[in-house]
Amino acid sequence: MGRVYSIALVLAKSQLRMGRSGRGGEGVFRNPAIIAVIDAICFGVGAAIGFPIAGALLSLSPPLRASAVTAIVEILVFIPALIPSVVLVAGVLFELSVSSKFASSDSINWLPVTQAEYVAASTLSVAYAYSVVPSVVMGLTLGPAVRLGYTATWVEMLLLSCVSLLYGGAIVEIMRAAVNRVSLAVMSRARRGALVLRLAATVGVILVVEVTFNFVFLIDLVGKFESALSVVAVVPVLWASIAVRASESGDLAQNALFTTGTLLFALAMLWAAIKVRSRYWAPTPSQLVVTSKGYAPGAGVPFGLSLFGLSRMEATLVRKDLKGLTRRRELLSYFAIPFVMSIIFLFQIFFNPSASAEPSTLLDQLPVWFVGGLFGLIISSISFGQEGRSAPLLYSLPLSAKEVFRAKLFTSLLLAVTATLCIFVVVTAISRPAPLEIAANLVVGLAITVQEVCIGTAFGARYPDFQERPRPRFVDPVGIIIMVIVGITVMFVTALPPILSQALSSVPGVEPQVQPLFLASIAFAVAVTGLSYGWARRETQKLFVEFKW
Amino acid sequence: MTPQDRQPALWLESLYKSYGDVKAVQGVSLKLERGEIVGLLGPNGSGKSTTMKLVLGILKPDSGEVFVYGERSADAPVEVKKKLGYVPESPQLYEFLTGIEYIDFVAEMYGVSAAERKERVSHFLEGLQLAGHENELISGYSQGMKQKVAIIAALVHKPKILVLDEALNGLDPRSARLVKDLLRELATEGVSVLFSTHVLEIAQALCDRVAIMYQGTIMAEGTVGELRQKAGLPGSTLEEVFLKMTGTDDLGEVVKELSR
Repeated sequence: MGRVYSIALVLAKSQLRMGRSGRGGEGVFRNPAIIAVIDAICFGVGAAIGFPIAGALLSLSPPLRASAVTAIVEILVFIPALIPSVVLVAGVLFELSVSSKFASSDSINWLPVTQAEYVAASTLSVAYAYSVVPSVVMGLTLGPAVRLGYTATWVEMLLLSCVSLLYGGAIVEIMRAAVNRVSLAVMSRARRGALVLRLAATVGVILVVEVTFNFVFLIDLVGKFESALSVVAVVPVLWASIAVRASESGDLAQNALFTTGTLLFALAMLWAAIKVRSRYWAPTPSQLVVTSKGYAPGAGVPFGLSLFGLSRMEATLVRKDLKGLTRRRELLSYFAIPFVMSIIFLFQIFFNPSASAEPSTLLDQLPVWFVGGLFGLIISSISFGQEGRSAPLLYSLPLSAKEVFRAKLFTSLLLAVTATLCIFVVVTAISRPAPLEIAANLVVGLAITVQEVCIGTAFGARYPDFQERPRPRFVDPVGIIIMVIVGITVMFVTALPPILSQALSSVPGVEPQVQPLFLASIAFAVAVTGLSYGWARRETQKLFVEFKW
Repeated sequence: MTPQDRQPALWLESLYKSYGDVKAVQGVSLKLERGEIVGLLGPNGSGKSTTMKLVLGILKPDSGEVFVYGERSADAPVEVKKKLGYVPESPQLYEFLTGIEYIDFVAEMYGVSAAERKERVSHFLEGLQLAGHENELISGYSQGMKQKVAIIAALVHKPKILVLDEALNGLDPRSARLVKDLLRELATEGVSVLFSTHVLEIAQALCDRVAIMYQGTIMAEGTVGELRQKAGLPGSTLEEVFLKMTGTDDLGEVVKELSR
C-alpha cells in the first residue's frame, strides 16, 4: 500500500508541477496537499451558498416547498451517477493526451512496479485530481439536505460518490490502455491508411466508453422505458443512485443490495483496469512507413486552399497542422468530442416517441448550434499550444505572425465548420424542419461556430502552453477556465433569441417574430467574431515577438 | 562593391539577455566574416544556446542588436531568417511527420523550388544514409537520425549563414565526418558558420576562430594559436587552454574526492 501511495503521490505531483516554464507550479501549489485544501475551500464555499438556499426553500409555500424537496432528493439521488461521467469527460480531455513520444521513456515502464500497483496509484491520482467536482456538489447540497431532513441520505450519497469517483478513475485507466492497444494494433498491422484507421478506432473506443458510462445518456435511456427500475437495475452506473433512493425511502434491504453492488462494481472496474493494462499496455512506439511512393516535392500541398485566400506557405502550415491533428495520439481524443455530444443530443430527437408526429422544434437544432461551437472553441484553443517543444522552429522559419495566425485560424475553421455541417445534415434529416427553419438554423449554427473558433484562437494565442511532459496541456489552466466561461456564455447569448422565440411561442396569445430574433443572433455573432478576431490577431502578434518557454 | 557588401555576414553588437534574475548573456559582441567558421565554446549554462537563439530571433535581446549582412535583424526578421539555417541543440522536430515530409515542410517555408528541392534532398538523404527511412514517421527515428533530418532541413535552402548548436551530437562517425567536410566546403563557397560544441577537438580542427563564453560573456576570442598565447600555454591543446581560461583546470582534486 505504501508503494501505491508513493506512486500516486508522484503522479499527483506531476499533475501539479508541469507548466510552461517546465519549472512547475510555485510555492504551495507544488504540494499535492493543495488539492485537499482546494477541496475543503470548495466544500465550504458550496455549503455557504447551500445553507441560505435551504433557508429560502423552507420559507416557500407548502406546494412549492414540496416541489423543492422533490428536486433536492432527485439531485441527491443522481449525484453518484453523475460523477463518473464528469471524470470520464475530464479523462478524455486531459488524461488521454499523454504524448506517445514520452510513453516509452516514462520511468514507470522500467521501475520494478507491478501493473496492479500502477493502476491503483493512477486511479487514486485521477480521482484525487478531480475531487474538486464532488467537493463543490457536496458543499452545495449539505445545507438543503440537513435543513430539509435528509442528512442520512446526504451521508450515503457522499460515501457512494467517493466510490463513484474511484471507479470513474478506474474506467479512465481502462480507456487509456484500450486506446493504446487499438492504436498499436492498427499501427503494426495496417500499412497504408493506418493513421486514418487509428483515428477512427480511437474515436470509436472513446465513443463507446463515454456513451456507456454517460449519466445523461443513461438516464435518458432509462426514461424511455416504462418499467424504470427493472432497466435501472441492470445498469451498474445507476446502482449508487438506487441505493441513495432506497436510503431516502427507508428500504434497507434494497439499500444494502445496491450499495454492495456499487462497491463490487468499483472493485470489478479496478480489476478490469489492471487486467486490461497488464494485457494491452505496450509503450514501444511502432515504426510506420506512411507511404512507399518516391519523393515528390510539395506533393499533397492543398493548393486548392488558395481559393480561400491562403498563400502557399499558409497552405503548407495548414497541411502540417491537419497531419498533426490526425496523427498525434494525444490529439485524437479531441475528435471524439463532437461525436459523443452529437450522439447524446441526437438520441433525444431520434428516440422521441412523438418525433414523427410533431413538427420539429428549434430545440432540436441545439446540436447544430452547440456541438460545432464547442468543438470549434476547443480545437482552436489548442492550435498554438500543440506546437509543443517544436514551437521554436516556427520562430526560426521565415514566417510572419500574420501568416501563422491565418493558417491556425483556417485549420480550426475547416474542422469546426465541417463538423457543424455534418451535424446539421444529420439533425435536419432526423427532425425534418420547415425550409425557412433549415436555412436559419444553418446560418445561426455557422455563425456560432465561427465566433467560437475566433474566441478559442484568441485564448490559444494568449495562454499557450508548450509543455509536453508529463502530458501536453496546450492551453494554460487559467486560460482554459476563462475561455470556457466566456465561450459558453457567448454561445448561449447568441442562441438566446431563437430559444426565446421558441419559449414565447408556447405562451397562449403570443406570436414572436422569428426572423428579427434570428437576425439579432447573427448580428451578435458577427460583432463577437469581429472583436475576437482582432484580439486573436493581436495576441498572435505579441506571441511571435519572442518564444516564451 | 556596395557598402553592404563590405559588412560582416553576422554582427552581434553588445547583446544582453536575462531570464528573471539569471543573466544568460551579458554584453556579447561578435563578428563573423563571409566564409568563416567560428566556434562558440563554453561550459554548460555559459550562454551559447541563448546567444544562438538571439541570432535566430527565437529570443528577443533585452538590449543590443543583431545584424545579418548589414541588415538589422529586428527591422526585417522574416527576410533575415531566409539567410539563416539553424540546427538546434537536441532538435525537437514534428514527430508526426515523416522525415521527408518534415524536410519538405521546411523547404516550402524557405521557398525552395520543387526541382532544386528534389535534387538536393535526394543527395542529402543518400549522403547521410537516411535513404530508405525517409517515409517513416520521425517518432520512430533514433536521436542520430533526427539530428540528420535537422541538418538537412537547415541546409536545404542554401543559407548564407549556418547556426549550429551542438549539431554533431548523436551522429555516427561517418556522418559526423561528412558534415564537417561539408561545412568546410560550404565555407569556401562563402557560407559563414557559427558553431557551438563541447568537443574541443572538433572546434580545433574545424573552426577558423574560437570564442570562449563563460557566465554570459565572451572571455576570449581568436584563432587557436592566439588563444594559446593569451592563456600562456604555447604548444598546448585547445582543451588545456579552455580549462585554464574557464577556471576548471583543477580537476585532479575533484576526481580524487569523487573516487573516495
